[in-house]
Amino acid sequence: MVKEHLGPIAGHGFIVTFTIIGVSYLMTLPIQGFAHPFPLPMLAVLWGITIGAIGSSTGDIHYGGEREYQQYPFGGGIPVRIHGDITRKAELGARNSLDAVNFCAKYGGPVTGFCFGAIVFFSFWSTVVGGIFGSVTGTILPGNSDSNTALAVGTTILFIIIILIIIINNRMEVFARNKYGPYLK
Amino acid sequence: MSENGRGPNSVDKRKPLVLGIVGGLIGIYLTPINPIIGPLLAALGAVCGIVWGADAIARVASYGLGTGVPSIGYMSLAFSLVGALSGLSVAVYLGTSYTWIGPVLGVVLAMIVGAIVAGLGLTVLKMKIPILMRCTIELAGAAAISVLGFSAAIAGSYAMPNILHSVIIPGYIALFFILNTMAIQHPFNACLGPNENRTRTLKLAFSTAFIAMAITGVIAMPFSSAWYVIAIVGAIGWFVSITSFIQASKDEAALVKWTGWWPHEEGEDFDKEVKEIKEA
Amino acid sequence: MVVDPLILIGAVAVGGVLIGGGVHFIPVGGAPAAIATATGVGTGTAMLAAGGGMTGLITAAAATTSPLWLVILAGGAGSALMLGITMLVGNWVYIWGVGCVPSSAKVTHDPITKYEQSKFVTPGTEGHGIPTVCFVSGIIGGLLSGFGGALAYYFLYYSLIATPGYAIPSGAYVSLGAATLAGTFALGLFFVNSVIASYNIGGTIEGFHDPKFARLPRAALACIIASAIVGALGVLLVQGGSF
Repeated sequence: MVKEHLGPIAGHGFIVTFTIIGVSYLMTLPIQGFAHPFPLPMLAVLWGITIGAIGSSTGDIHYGGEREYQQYPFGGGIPVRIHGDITRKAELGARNSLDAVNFCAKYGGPVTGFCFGAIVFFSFWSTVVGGIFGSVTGTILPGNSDSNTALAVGTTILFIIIILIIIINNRMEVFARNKYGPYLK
Repeated sequence: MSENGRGPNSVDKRKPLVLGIVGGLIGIYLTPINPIIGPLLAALGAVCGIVWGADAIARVASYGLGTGVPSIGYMSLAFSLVGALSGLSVAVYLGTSYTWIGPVLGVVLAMIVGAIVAGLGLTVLKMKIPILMRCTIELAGAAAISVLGFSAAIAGSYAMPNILHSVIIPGYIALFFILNTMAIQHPFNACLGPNENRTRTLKLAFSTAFIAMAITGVIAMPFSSAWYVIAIVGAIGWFVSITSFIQASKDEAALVKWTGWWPHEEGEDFDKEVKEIKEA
Repeated sequence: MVVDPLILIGAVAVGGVLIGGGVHFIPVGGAPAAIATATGVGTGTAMLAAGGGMTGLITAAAATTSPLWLVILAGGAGSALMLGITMLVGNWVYIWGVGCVPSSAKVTHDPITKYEQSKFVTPGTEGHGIPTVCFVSGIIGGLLSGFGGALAYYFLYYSLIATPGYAIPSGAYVSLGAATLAGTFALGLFFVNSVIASYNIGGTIEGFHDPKFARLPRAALACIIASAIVGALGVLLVQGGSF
């Protein structure tokens, strides 16, 4: 097991590190909208902590959730009071942690990646899209009123996105309620 | 549960403490003696600090903090890092003849903040962990020593101007925050459980500390002529300690045996059974 | 701009209280949420709050040379954005991966949308997914903690660049050393306060409608004292620039 797992762990670790360093390097370049005042290792640490939080909060759900189809319709989670019960119905065949990862890789992994990508993408909107309305500061330009307008517009855009996200989430909740309906006794 | 963790399987709590304080501070204070040996000693001092911290976190986290092992590691690294740099800064403020006071003051400031935060946890938040105070103070001191040691190893000095130039401005200080947190909290987080053996946990602590030292050596490349010494000694130390950790794990495991995949025939049997059920 | 040391300590203390208070708004369910037996995001309190705070710190620092209100707003926006997207994607997994309806067992009706909750909760669990009230609560938490981190960052940065050691070099508009040190300081402040708050919460909380939310004053008291001490260390840090 150790020999089989070390390779994928190292490979995935390399991909994550490489892309985070790439994003951080881009952010330090003296380009309009980037030019972040933090040095590269600091940015990489900040993004690394963020992606750790995201991976733990979205990837984990599927990892823990995939065992739940066997007990109840619509999943819904195995109640805590029957944790430890012997599972009577389960998939047949060789099953180990690699299978759980395989299952996660089809949905949990891509979704987690999308989540981090969306955060990186939208967090740049304050400087990049806001930069259309004036030069944004960083290490190259002084804090003039021009850049303040740009950042104010960019921050407003972020707030609009946040409100949109709240609405989308509410629509999703209504969809799930209508589609799955109340819990059957 | 004894005060020292888990009875017969724990080590004497004074040994890591002495190792951390004495070894760590000696390593940091010997930094300026030689441009090659000095940084190496500072990095080894940081290793001593990490081992001390890993033991302290193992003792406090055996009680169950409610939020997992890493949280207290993050917290103590956070205020220790600020405390350690503040100590160095005060030394600058006092003048060049008082540079020597910096590391000790940094460790003491970190410990004071640790005591205050632990006191708040016990009084305001009403946490019921009797050794929280002592262990948070130890953890703060260990974290401060580890940050100071690695910083001094890169800068080649424990004076604030050098550390500002070669550790803070390149952003390595944020890296040390997360690197030392991982090195301190990982050993117990990985080894905890009913069969936790403190000696084995500390072997893992040595290996995480040495690998952190090896990384420090590599990132010291632009600033220190001793980078390859630190990296190589760290890598050798890591190899020795991880080997001894794996050996200890094998010795204590009940049985490690690869059973192989099950025979191929089972699948055919299953197909036969399905056919029989369908026919019936 | 010269920052008085007392203003710095005050700003850090207020920032710490905002972070510690904000953590109480964030819906976290820990390990039970990761197996869909508790409402909230399936991770630890300190980790999620810190992750949100880091994004807020990045957006706040991108506005370093701007006035205070803009830095604070940028920090809050970044932090709330991170938490919002994380909760949204978490809900994707709950709805289309696990297949459960976002609901909470702690309240009978969602205080914001008035949707009935109890029928949709799997028997024996405390709920699952992130319903609207938790989502809005999480956004508020992100905003508050982002404001707090940005406040501490801004005041420490401007205290530092007034000293010769951290002064802005000629030809540049940002002092790298001051920005890094202030950023690390804000990062440390985030972790100290979010861990104190998570000790107070003790694992899981759903947002402002949760009964555990009543514990907020205790955490606020602990955070204000701890942050004031860390702020005093910040004042000492500023003294280190006098070379």
